[in-house]
Amino acid sequence: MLRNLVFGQYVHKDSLVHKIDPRIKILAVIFLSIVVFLIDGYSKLSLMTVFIILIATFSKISIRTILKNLRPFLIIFAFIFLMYFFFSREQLGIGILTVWRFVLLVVIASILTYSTTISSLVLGLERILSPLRAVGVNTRTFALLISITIRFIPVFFMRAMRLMDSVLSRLGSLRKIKHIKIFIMSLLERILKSASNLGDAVEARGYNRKSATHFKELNIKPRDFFASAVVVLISILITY
Amino acid sequence: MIKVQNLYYKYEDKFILENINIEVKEGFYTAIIGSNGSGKTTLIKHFNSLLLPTKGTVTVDGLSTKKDSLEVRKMVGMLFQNPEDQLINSVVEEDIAFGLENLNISSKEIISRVDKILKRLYIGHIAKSNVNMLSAGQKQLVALAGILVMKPKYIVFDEPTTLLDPKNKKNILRIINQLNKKDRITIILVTNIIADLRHADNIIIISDGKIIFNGKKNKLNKKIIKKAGLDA
Repeated sequence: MLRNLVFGQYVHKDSLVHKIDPRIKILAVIFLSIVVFLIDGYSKLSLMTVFIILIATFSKISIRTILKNLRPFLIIFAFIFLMYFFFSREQLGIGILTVWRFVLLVVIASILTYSTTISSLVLGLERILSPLRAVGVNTRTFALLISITIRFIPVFFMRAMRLMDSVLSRLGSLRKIKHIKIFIMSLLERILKSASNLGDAVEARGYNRKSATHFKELNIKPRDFFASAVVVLISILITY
Repeated sequence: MIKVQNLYYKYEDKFILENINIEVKEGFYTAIIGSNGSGKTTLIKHFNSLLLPTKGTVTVDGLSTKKDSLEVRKMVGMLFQNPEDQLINSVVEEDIAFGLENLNISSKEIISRVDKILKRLYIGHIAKSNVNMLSAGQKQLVALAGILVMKPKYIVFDEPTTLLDPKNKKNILRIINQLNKKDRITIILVTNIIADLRHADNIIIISDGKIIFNGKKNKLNKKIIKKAGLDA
């Protein structure tokens, strides 16, 4: 499962999207996320879906992989849909559009993490947030927190699966509230222990809250401006 | 030299370490051995300021772990038991570079050092791989690379082979021995396996938070090993 879990995992490919500056990609994700929620109607969302699938194609992530990684979020999508179904049936169409939008958000986010290394994301975020240093925000720590979260999403999914097997083999099922509680408490304990170990590792490697140099420096190139222009133009065209 | 003087460490109203007095000499290979819960990991975490003494002092080349923690961490690297919990970035070469970024080393120098260490540990072919796709042995090598690239004077290994198969275990122990004999890096190996002591110059045995032996291998006897609970 871990090998197929692309969400949150960088995969090295020689694609156009991989080469785009991470700052441009982060801003594009934010922009597209806003546009996804601004546009209305099945036809506009369909056009946006095609556009996002095209971006995924340019990043050399297959449709099959995208669909596989939507699986962990099916429960959330089903929950949203069922809320509309049971409590607001006359607005079921809006419910479908809402779920569709969340699907697109997940796909956009996974394209970002698939095509951008964690350290590039950290660096990109740090640079974007750097004006906040003037008001006392420690952008370096904030960016690192985000990158560690992304790094460990697949790890914790895997640990949860292993723990599930272990708990099921002893308890038989997870139908009782008591058993679910045991599962959640055990998982939380493992996550907190990992967090503590990781904190030690980060500190042991000399991490400090002041500025640092970077493995690879960022340089905006003409292709980054071109990519930004394409995203903005097509989004405007779809919106209006 | 790492000098520990009258070290006491208290956690939740209980002393985990009591009256620890040891010296780890530069260039030596020291093994710290004890059964589970004896206080080994608590002790070694003092060597690079991850823990601070409740009472007593710990110094590294004269620098206090309380006052000069950043400087101490530049000198003392630490490899933990579980490689999964010490890999911070998702790409191998970027994880290796993490420590150097914290030291404010230039980008050009970082790239050069990372390249050299990848070649030295024969992991150049996985430089751009996602760390989640690596085997346990490869992860431990990447974690080790991330420490070696910082050029520490001392390296503490906290049961580094526990989660590895025999082949990878042998490889890691061979590398540790090489680091001491060829590179003259001071090694502190924490273990609960007697067989891992074979290359150590000095042995420290800890039991219930107290040092019960500190000396050469040839002075170790069965009585002391039994007292430490290591005689299975």
